[in-house]
Amino acid sequence: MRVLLFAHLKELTGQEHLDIPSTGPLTVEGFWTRLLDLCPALASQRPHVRLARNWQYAQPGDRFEPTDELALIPPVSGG
Amino acid sequence: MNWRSFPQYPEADMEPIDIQITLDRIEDQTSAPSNDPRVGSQLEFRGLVRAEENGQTIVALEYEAYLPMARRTLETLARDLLARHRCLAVRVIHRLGVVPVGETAILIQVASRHRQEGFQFLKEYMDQLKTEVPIWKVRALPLLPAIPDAPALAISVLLP
Repeated sequence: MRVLLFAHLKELTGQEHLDIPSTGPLTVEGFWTRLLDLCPALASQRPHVRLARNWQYAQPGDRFEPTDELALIPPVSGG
Repeated sequence: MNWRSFPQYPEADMEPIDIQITLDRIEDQTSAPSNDPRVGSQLEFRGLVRAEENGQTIVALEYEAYLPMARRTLETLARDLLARHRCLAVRVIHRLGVVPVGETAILIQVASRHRQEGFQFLKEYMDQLKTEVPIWKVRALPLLPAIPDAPALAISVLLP
């Protein structure tokens, strides 16, 4: 499962994306557990970012499939 | 939609929506008045880069986007608000990369029968863009004092 990073999250992690080895679908909580195991530096960002799944904001009850494209969306500032 | 080739009699459920995300100067884009006889109002909003960011004098901002999601979100917003406010057509262009002070970061043009629908559209579109569309100002390039005989130097400041 690929997780895309943007804006200051790229600077924080030194990565443009992270790959979570996954054996099956993940709940939102399961996703965060796996992600923070992989990259503990993102823990402080969790309250401030939204999750996107396949180009749409994720919902609390979503389950993420291994083939989904996930993204961490920090507060936006376009325009 | 090409603003110049605005269809004359679009179907009611086929409002033209033109969404562009570009590295090019928006100022170089041309626009022409609509020739749709239903249009009584054509409004334009431009968001420009100001010379001040977080109390600092700057010369440019750098923008980044999650491209496929930004495009989809800009389009969904446009479709929803066109229907809600019964507007006839919209064109949105957002620039990415380094945008110098005074240049346009975003352009929105909206055509409607009456001006009120267009004003409502513009306000709600920009309000929602500012919270929903994954585009970020990632760096501010500050104005540096001139140092005689110093080599050219570029410094950028990461935005929170």
